[in-house]
Amino acid sequence: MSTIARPRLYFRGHAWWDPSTFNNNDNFPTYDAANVRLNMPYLYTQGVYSPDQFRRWAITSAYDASQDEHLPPAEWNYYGSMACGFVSPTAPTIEDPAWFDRPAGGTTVTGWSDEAGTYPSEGPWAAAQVTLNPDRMPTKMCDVNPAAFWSTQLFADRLQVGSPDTVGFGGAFARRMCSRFPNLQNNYDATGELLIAGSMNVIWQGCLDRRDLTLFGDLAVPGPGRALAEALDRPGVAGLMIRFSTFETLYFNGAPFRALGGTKAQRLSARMGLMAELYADYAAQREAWSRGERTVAPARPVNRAYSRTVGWIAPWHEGALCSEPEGRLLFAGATLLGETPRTVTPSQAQTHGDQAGQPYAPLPLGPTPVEADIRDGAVARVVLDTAVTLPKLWLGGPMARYGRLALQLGTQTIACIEPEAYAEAAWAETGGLVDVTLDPPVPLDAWYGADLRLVVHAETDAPVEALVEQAFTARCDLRGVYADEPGAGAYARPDPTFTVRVQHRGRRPPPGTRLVVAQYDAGFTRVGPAGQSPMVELLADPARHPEPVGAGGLACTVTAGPGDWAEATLAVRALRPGIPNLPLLALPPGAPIPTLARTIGGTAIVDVAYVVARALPFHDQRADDFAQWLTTNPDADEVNARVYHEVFALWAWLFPVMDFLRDPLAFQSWRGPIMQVTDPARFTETAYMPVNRCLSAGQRRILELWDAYLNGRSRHHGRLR
Amino acid sequence: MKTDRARLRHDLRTAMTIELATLPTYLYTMMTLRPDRAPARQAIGLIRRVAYEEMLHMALVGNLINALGFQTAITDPAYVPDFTKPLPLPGHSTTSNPFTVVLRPFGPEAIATFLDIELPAYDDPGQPTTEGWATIGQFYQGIEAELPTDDAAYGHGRQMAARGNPAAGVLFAITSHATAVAALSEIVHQGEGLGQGHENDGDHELSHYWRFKEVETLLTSGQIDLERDVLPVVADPYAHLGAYTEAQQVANRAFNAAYSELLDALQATFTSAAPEVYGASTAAMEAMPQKAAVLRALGPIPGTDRLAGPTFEYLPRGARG
Repeated sequence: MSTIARPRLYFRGHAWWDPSTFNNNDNFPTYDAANVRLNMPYLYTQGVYSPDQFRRWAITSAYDASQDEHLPPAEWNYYGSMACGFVSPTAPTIEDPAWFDRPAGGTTVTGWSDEAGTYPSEGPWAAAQVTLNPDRMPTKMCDVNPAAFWSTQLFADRLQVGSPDTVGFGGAFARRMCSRFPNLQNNYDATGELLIAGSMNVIWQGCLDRRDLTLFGDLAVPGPGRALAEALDRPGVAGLMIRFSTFETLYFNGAPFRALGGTKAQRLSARMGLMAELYADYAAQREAWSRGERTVAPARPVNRAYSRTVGWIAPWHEGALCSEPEGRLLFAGATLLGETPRTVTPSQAQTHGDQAGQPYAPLPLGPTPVEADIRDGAVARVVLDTAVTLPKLWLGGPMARYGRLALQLGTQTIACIEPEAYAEAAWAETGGLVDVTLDPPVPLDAWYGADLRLVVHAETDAPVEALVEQAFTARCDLRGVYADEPGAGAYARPDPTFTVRVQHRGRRPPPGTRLVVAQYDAGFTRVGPAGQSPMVELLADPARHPEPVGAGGLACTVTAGPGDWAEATLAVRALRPGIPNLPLLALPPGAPIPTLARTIGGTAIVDVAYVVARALPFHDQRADDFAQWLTTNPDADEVNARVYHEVFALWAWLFPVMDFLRDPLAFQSWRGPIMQVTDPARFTETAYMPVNRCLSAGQRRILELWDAYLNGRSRHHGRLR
Repeated sequence: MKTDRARLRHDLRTAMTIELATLPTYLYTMMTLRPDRAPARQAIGLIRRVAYEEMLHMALVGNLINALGFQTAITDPAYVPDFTKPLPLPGHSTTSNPFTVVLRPFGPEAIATFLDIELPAYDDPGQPTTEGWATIGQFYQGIEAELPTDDAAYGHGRQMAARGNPAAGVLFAITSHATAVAALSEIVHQGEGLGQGHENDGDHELSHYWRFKEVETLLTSGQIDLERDVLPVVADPYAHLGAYTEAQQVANRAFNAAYSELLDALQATFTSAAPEVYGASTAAMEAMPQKAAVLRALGPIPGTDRLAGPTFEYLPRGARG
């Protein structure tokens, strides 16, 4: 019920993204993501056998005939650090301003709603900067599957609004954020300016535990600070929630890139070509620097992407999920069941320049959570989160218009939303939240008695049902579930688990409700006889009557949770390395197991609830071999060399920012910090390494053996194990 | 026996100076090797490994100094190694195994100095004298004899933890006489080996002395060719500093600023409330080869066919530009 809660702070600005793109595999199969290794058989065909050859090849423009595209295999940001954050007047630092820039201004509070719902936007809180990980290592982004846009996670330790010297607050995140409702069709891009994933809009949500929150400023002064302090003192308030959406992502941000014209495809190729030139120039300059021909190290060509961002912060209530929006859920169709999503056509009257006369094709609207403010046995207000619902027409352009939107309960209209309420200005002002007063209030039996619908009345068309309620919802706070080799003996380790929360129309479902967890491969094609074998085994308590549903999926019953929901906890046992997608489906009591879609296309994923599992490579045997080998008393050079090949080589090849791993004595000298940042207990912290969270348990064991060996424990402390 | 704490403090600070003096000596020579061919790369690796172990030795001495309630004096002018002239290591005998340290490019003289520094006591043809130590092992034996045997004398200062260890070997936390002795043994064993016929340090590693013997073999066997594999960098750079061009002077100051940052970082590490890892020190040490390359890239010293080398001078903060 956090969208219902007030006070609510709104903010706006930009997010910056600095991913390293070599392992995206968008054009060339350079990376074997399942096994966390380079795709050497492919690289050999490219004449790449050594790290030096690799570095030259990665940055040299090549032709991808399948997409008629010229680009370096390392793609658009080879030198990325996997960092991200909100843009401020000083961040991110631009390494080479001659080529790259960032949006002006910051990401700041733009206003707030008080208890009465009014919208002041002045005072010391206005323009307070919103910062992820203030005064520390930037937030890290990590795709569970580097080739999957739907699997991104953000590892941030802290959030700060404002500063301790003025007003605001700071607190620690209770859980990592992950991409929710990734909607690839959230911009018509009528002007053709949005490249790569520029049209996508996605929601992020995180929560700050009240026990770790510090409010800044004089809380006696009326305003957001005092209102937040009062809210945090209320029973049932667990802390604060931040939710924001990122959209209209721009790549190649710099005047020289923007000056490159032509068609969309031509511009993309030209910009990729320019990046290849910058990569080559940087490599040459770096060499010159190493030779002492330059006194200052050249600036890395860091090609950050920027997304427009709108969001809000409000009280987080006990029991509410940390990372996934709650509420009743409207969506365009059950694509997991093979349904074609409903589509609607916006008004054709909105034109831009030479796009005049080109019709806007019908598109599905994005998912829309709806939460209800229940008082005195009735619903007097609802809040629709339209962050990813309605497409925009072009970069920086208006929201597509669909006329009046009618919120229906069954066939009865309970509220109407006029175009001005969801138009660009209003939408941005409230971070996509639309507060709707129900007049008259809807009694609870009616509220829970029928499915919600959103009907659009585009000016020229008859009413069209755009979104319908997914009456039974399944949600999970975890997106990336990392499963190591199950192990045995000294290496035995518990299976990781995830808990799925099931509701019916936003509350606890009836007894007999079941949960289906299916298994799809890394590309979202169902595993099974005609495809790959399952990568993980799903396990549920026998008391849940688990039932295989084929292709590595499982159905089980759910039981009442501590709040207004039912839940089931499943374990994931790795069968072989891979990155299966695990869609979630709640079934009404007595419903048969439905036929699931064979493949879920990129644009359909937005309407699917899912967990992404990561079965890490099986390296226990290697660790055992390594331990045995150490008993032969190899010297440190030999040990370092073997550890390089067992663990570090991939990271040294893959990420130029990890270059120091190429040097055995350098990584040896940093092994203390290496042991600290690879400690599994720190997995959710920003500082954890490797940044893509793909260190297997066997590799970690190798590092532990290495550290113990070099620290001389074999001599001074007896046996290694 | 009652411990003379003032003398012990002085000797431990001297030990830090000796360990620290090896870094410029080894690094200067190492940086003159071209890394193009395998034998030269092998020599670079051997020398670098010793340099990292010298960092461990400094950590051990630092821990001992802190444990006894003293304070390191790495940047104190009285203890900073002075390479402006041939440097006798402090406290060294002038009659038994006498040598002075001069910064030299890779070659037989440089390696001979390395071997002098790391000479095992069992190989020393001379005998310990009252006027100074003949081998570093003897020097540490002297310190060991000075150590208080009462465990209560230890545990006063914070200790760099094992995770700060940049090298192979044991970074002891010193909490007792036994751990203090073990720390000194670690230094001696890594330097000269376990004893005659035992060329390794007890941790499956060749001692420094024998690593340098391997380097010597690379040279004497002809695998490393001085003409092909070694940059023509000047020996005893300070003696030639007056002939450096203005640009070379600037580059040398930049190098010395980085070296000074290294010493400051080391001092800060051991005087901090919580000595952690050598982060800043290691980073400063790893930055130095590039700065030496800048100096070399400026061409020969006027009037010579030799390239400029860094003088490894400690610059006070205000003089670093």
